[in-house]
Amino acid sequence: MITLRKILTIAWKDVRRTFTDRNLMLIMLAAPLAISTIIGVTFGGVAQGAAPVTDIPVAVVNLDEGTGGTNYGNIVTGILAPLPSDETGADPLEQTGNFNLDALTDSGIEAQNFVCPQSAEVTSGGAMQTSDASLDELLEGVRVTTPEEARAGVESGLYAVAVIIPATFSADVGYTPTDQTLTPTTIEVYADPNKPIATSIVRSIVEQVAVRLSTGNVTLSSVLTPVIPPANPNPLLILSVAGSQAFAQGISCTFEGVGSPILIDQQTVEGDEFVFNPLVVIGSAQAIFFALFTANGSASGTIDERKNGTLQRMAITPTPLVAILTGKLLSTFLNVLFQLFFLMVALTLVNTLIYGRLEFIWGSNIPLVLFMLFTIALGTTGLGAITAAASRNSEQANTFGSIIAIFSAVLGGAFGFQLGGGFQYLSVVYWGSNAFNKLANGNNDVLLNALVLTLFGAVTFGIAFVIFARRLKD
Amino acid sequence: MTAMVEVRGLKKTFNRSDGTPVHAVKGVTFDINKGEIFSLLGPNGAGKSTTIGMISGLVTPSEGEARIGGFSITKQAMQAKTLIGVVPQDIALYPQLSPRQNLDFFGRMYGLGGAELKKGIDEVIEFIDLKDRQNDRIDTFSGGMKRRVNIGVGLLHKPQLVYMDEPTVGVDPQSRRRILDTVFRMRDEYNMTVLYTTHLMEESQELSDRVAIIDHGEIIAMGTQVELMAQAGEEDRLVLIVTGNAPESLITTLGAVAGVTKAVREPAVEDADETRISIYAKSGRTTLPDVLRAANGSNATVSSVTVKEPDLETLFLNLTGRALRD
Repeated sequence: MITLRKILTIAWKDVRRTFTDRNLMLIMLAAPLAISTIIGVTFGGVAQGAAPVTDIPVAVVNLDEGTGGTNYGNIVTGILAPLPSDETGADPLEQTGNFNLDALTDSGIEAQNFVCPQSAEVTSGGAMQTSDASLDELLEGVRVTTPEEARAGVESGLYAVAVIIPATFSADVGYTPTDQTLTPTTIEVYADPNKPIATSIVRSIVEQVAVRLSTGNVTLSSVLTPVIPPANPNPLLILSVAGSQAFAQGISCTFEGVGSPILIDQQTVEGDEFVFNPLVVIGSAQAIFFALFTANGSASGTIDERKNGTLQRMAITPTPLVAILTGKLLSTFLNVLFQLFFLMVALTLVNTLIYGRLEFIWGSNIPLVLFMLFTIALGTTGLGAITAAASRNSEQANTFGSIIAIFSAVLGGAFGFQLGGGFQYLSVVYWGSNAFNKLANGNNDVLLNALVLTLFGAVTFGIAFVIFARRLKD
Repeated sequence: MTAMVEVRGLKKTFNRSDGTPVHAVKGVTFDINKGEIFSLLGPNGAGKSTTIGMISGLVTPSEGEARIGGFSITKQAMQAKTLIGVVPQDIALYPQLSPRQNLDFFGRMYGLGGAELKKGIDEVIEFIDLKDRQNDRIDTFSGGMKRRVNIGVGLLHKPQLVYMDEPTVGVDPQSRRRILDTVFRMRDEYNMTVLYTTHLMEESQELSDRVAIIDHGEIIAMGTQVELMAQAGEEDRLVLIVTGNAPESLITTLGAVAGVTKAVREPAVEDADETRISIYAKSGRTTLPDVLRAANGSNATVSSVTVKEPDLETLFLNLTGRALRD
């Protein structure tokens, strides 16, 4: 009992020293948070500027059979993979939607100017101000006939992403006076998991188009329904309504971002359903990457304490060597665990700020998330501890630790790409971020990740312990 | 008297990276009595710190045994360690923490807690006279203040035996005086036994009830000051400094003066245009005028003369042929 208390005293002393050191806090928390946030903002569909990626190869399959002369699939296809004739600068939504404001104004009825209070983006006539001008540079869209061909192209590396629009797309989301029901539908985004940033960009564009399409229909429906009996769709009545202020307001506001009944079903080559959130994918990998530095630095603290004489001072007290080492390694583990926990919470808050909705981005299975946090901290600490134990001094430990952390991060996809070829399995960053990605997508099958991380952590911890003990006895 | 420390044939051999053994301590044996201030005096590298390391349980002896308060430091380490407080040579504190926080941490390592720990910390803070700075970070302290905290940590659990390993190294005279006074207070107010290592003869002479002189890992002399002076030969030493390189005939002349037992040329000081001559005599002060007359008669220019009564330095010189500070 007394020994346990001493172990906790040693661990608590180190944890307190770590979390009261402002410089360390900058490295441990602020840096990964800043990097993840920048990536999140840049690739999360929020940034309006050009992305630092160009010519993303996208295969687009439009199976949409259209309805009543309207084909929403063409709109999406026109945006992602425009034909030469489409590249005129005109907005495809204005040309092919089931409401065409130009047609209304040409008929002699002027829609009144109206700007929604929340938005300065929508102007006269409700034409959308899109960032489509940059899409030509961003995307290298190719129209493909069949889903099989598109998926095979992604698997072979020809395309980064395949976008597959279902046959019932227009029928599901289109509004007609006789069919005012909006049926949830799905656009499939089939992606190469090794190209998460490209996937994020394409998904973001598809999502934006989908939201705008569907909200346009929802608002049009809400405006017209009270005045037009579904059984008697009189074109003259429609035109007169279209000229009214209420209609202009309704049309303008259709382009405000609200919920969409169109789901983006993202699949990876491996077959997992996968919703890409850069804060989850990059954020978790960055968190583990920086946790590796913490683990290494914290474990190197044992070497520093030996150099400064405080370790010997502890050893002179009636405290067994095993307890001292256990306390030191426990503090390393706790430092990493708390760092990961804070980063997970902080990334959730960042996600809230970016997307404007409070959402726990790591999935709904909180106990499993916490358990994975524990195993990741164990694996990360083990790697840091063994690196420090095998080093002659803390300078050497920091150098080796940095090299190992960067290798792990590259292999594990912390910088937006993975080398693949099975090398990623050598990285704790991969096993950890992969588990968080699964959990974030509602996939609780993280047993293998937990096993690998726990075993790796236990073995490396054990070896580090023995090496440290031998060195301290010398 | 009851022995607080019993050391028997302690040896420590290290291996260099090329495998050659280094015999740091070659079998030292001594006792320290309860309430005694015992000095281990020797030049740098003599084996003082290794000896302390072994009897504090930090360094495993290659051979021999040490018992603290009757407990073997190797077989009953935990019991022995509760009796020991150590003040290491270098500052061994957490610089980011305050004196209070350092004391709190190490106090808990000794198993203290609650009101007992708080009271102990208050007493130590008072003892080392750092009440005003008790909550400031150590890395904002002067060297002397850090030394005082370093000592305080070693005293917190009220040990029966305190090892102080060259605690005045690199300390200004004022702080040094304060540390030496602290050692007396530890014995007089708390009845602690003190094992004090130093390479400074003056400190050893001022503090110690008994002294052991250690050189090349061996104890070459041990006893009270009086006993050691007797070993030194009870002769005074006159140190004569003459300008230029004195001829050998001057050394012979000075050695032949009545009352002088021998005259020795000391190693030359680099870049100094002078010669130091040690002259041993039963009574230095009585012999001094004759020595000066003899030097004058040999046309030597005497720039300085000092009369030194027998001391540990003399003893060390007699035993090893080297000065303590060489």
